[in-house]
Amino acid sequence: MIIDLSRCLGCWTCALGCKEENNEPIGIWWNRILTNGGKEIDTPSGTYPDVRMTYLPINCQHCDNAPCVKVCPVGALQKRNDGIVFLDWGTCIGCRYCLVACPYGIPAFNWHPPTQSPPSSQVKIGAPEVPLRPVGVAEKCTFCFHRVDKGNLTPACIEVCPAGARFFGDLDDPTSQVSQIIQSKPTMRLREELGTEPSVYYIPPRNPLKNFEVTQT
Amino acid sequence: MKKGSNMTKNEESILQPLVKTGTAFYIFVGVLLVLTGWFLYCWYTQVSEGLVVTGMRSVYNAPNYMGYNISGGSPWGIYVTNFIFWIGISHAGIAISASVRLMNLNKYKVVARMAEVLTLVALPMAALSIVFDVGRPDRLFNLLSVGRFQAPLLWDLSAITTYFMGTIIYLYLSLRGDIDKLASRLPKREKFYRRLAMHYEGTATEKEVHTKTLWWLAVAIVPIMVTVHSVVSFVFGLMVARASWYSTIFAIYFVVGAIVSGVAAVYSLAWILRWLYKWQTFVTDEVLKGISWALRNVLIIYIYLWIAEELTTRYQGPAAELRVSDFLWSGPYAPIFWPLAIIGFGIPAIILLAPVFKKRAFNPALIFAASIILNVALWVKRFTIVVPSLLNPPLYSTGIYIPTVTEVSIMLGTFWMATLLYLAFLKLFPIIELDVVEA
Repeated sequence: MIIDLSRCLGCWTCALGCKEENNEPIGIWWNRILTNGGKEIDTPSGTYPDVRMTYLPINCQHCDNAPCVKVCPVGALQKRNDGIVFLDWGTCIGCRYCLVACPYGIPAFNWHPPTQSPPSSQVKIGAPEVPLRPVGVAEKCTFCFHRVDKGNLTPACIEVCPAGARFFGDLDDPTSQVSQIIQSKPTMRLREELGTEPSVYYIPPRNPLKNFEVTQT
Repeated sequence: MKKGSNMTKNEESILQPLVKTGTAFYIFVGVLLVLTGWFLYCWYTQVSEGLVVTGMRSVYNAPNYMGYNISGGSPWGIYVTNFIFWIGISHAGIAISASVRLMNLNKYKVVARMAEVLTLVALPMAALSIVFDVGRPDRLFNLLSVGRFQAPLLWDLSAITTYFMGTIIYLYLSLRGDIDKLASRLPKREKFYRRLAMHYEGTATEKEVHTKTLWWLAVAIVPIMVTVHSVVSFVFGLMVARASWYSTIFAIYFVVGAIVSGVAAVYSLAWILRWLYKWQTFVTDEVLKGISWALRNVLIIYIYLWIAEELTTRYQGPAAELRVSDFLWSGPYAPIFWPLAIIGFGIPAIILLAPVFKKRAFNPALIFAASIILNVALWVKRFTIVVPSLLNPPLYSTGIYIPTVTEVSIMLGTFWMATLLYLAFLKLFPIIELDVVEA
């Protein structure tokens, strides 16, 4: 996956699309949009007049060397052959080791019994392949593999992005759109120094502040 | 055979907890049972409502949920702290006993069993802490059916169960001769003890085989004990994403910390039992002095490791490490960090070091106070290792961790249960080996 930060508006449509598709209960976001540098959400970084507004949408980075997969004591977290890291909440014992091991703060935990507003008994949302999870298990972005496996579909966040800032494809295939973008544009990955080998690439924002750094919310 | 006529004076003294039970004991047990009941209620709340009743939270922000603030925080809290603490306590027990056997330190044999039982009681409490911590305790058997040995938690599981089994066998073998004796000493419970002794005859060959087996078990148990606490440290020390955890010192740091807390616990126990049952002739000042000497030395090593760690972090620490360190030095946890360093470690260190310079400064009661302070301090120290690092993840940080009343009640439940189990042992078996005092 590639996310073009110079295009991102910080509108949270990807997060909402994801929430709807994957039936995420109240309090759980698989996709979150951080604001770079600002003290609060949607505040610019820098001091006036030298300020910039940039966002950083983050979802599971589907690392090649995923720390969460390594530490999961029951193998609930697994890496598929195509590189997607998924969490099976039927096996998860809720030890929250993945929350501790993940450098990106991705896995979310069902601290309370999952609820929805309006209740899921009244309004059915989400793909039928993604059931409501039990209390006390972790969950996280799956790259919508229930969609991707159908062949011609991309994850929900890609589909709904109004700015066209998100791209999805096979990084191993040199002719795919994502491989072409990585070859032609400068890209970066989050916390590469940790050796996690993330599969999500970011195109840096246009003329960012000198100290482009992710800090808050 | 007339009742009581076959006991020597020393035996009578050692067996007094088995024979006599006062009102104070019943009141104490009553209070503990009430507290345990409260703990069970709190645990019931947690199981039925989910871990939302604790102060633990995911790393990221989320909106409020039915009055609970579930925005960012620490995914692990005092349950994990408590787990490390109980493993630390369990450490000393059998380790002291095994080293006494291996190095022929016969003087300290009087505290050997007190220590072994401590291990036996502490290990289930450590395991329980994990049961409290997981979101789905009903699925814990997944650890056995689909467990992955690449995961540090499985190393913990296997090391702890091995240690526990080793402890049970060791304790039973060392207890067997005494149980056999008890059967003839306490006719009321003869059947129970006879059955438990499993046809022990007390012949010379039998005794020799027991001694030999115990020696070999001791040889095996010492490395297991080092392993147990090392793998506990690996749960944290191998996490590349966590500043202040990811370091090679961690295994040594944890093992030494565990020995400090274990030896301190054995000292506290030996002192309490000696005071309760007037055992000054068995647990002599010399014995207590010896334990405090060991405690002093390991404490110095621990403080040394701690200073080395702080200096490495503070001197020219990388930003991430400094952020975690600032949380303790000047941030939200400074009000517990500085008292921890000064009262928790400084004062016990002074109390323990004083007899080195002035022989007459040795005061068993004062050192008892130091040993209690040290164990509280080590609990808090584990908290300052676990939580600040979790509150400062590499990408962005939110929230702060403060345990809730429910959470603290559940955590304290392990202490009430441990005390009850220890008392049960005290009432059923001699806490000092009968052979030791016969000589």
